[in-house]
Amino acid sequence: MKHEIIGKPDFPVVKIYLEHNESILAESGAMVSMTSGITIETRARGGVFSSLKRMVMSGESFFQNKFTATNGSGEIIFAPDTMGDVHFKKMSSEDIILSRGAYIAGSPDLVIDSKWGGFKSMFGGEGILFLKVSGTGALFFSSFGAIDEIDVRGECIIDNGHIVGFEPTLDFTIEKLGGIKSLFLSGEGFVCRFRGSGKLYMQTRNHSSFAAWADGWRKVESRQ
Amino acid sequence: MEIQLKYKPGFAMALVTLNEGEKIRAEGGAMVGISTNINMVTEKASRGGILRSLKAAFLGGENFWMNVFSSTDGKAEIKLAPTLPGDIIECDLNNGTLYAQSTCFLAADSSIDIDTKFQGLKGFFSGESLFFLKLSGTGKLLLSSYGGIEKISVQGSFLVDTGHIVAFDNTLNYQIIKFGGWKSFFFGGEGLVARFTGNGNLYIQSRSVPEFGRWLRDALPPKKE
Repeated sequence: MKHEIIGKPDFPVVKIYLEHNESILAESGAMVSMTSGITIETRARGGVFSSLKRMVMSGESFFQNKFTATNGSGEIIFAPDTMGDVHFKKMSSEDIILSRGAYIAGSPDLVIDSKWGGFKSMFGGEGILFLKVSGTGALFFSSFGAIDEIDVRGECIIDNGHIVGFEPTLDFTIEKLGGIKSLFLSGEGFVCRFRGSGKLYMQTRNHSSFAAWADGWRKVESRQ
Repeated sequence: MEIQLKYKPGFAMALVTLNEGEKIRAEGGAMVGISTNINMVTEKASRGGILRSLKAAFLGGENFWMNVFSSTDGKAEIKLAPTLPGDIIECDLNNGTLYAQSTCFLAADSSIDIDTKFQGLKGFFSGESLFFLKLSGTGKLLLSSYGGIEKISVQGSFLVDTGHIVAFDNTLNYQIIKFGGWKSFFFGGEGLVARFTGNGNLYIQSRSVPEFGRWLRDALPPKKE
């Protein structure tokens, strides 16, 4: 399966070239356009329970679409929901943890599961669970803003809202920054402290801050 | 203090390296990531009494509290980014004064003094965010823009829509004027512009924050009180 990421880094799309009988799975709503020889099959992957868990816990869609080139080769274009970059990772029997909503598309051989981040991550405000992607194949994920890739050796502190994903060789704890005054007044909330060796993917904008900013512009209607 | 600007111009981020003893003051929420040898203290936005800080909070639109980051041991790193999509620029103040639209302030060397310049009635006419922070002193300063940023050397006179102003030197005078007749004030969407006169630098942004806000206002369902 060949691919091309077009329009990097601000508003890219990913174009995937499928051979005859080759398939790719994607989040519902990610498809932009495709050639006519591709068939779509919508399914609750891994059964209803596991899809429900994925949707409730990780913010992924309940249904995933499977696109298969059934009439010779085909081309399909996917885009993320928000503005920002698209990242490709060639997975070879390995795991990666992705934050809520970062997954766009991947090879059907990849196993996607909601991973319990522990009670601690409830304070993170970024979904109780992360998504765990494992196996071998192509994986595409998105960031809100640009993606900053960090090779963690030792320790590193990131604002919760800026985490895109990380390798499971990294361990993390949620903590507050600064004193008690900072907890309420700093606007920084909680941060993640990562430990160990591995890759960490960070985004240069924060969904929650942007959403809160946009919310501030809404009209206020008085209750009758 | 060394500053490296990355991922320009769409979703820019500043990577600031602090030497021991150096401090940077950043807008609340701007911190993306830090090295473990950074200490953060939350302080009032401007020096001086509580009144001055309150003035900054209510009139400047900027967070009442800002965070001061410093190194506890050797070189330390901090990554900063604004909320909105857009660019970041670095300005060096050398015993000078710059006025920055409050939403465009990202961070400054802690030796730079932050004060709110009250705009009076002429500010009220032009919408929510036409308030300026007065930044004076010597040191590095980071400004963020919604969209791209352009530096203009004003010589004589220059007109700019108020929502597109990022910052300007205090050597420039400005006046808020109605653009066109009353008809264009109400229907033309170009209501108020700022006329800058004198010699100095003016920074403008390619998108307007209040225009985007108005667009969101129409697009989003109303909140119940």
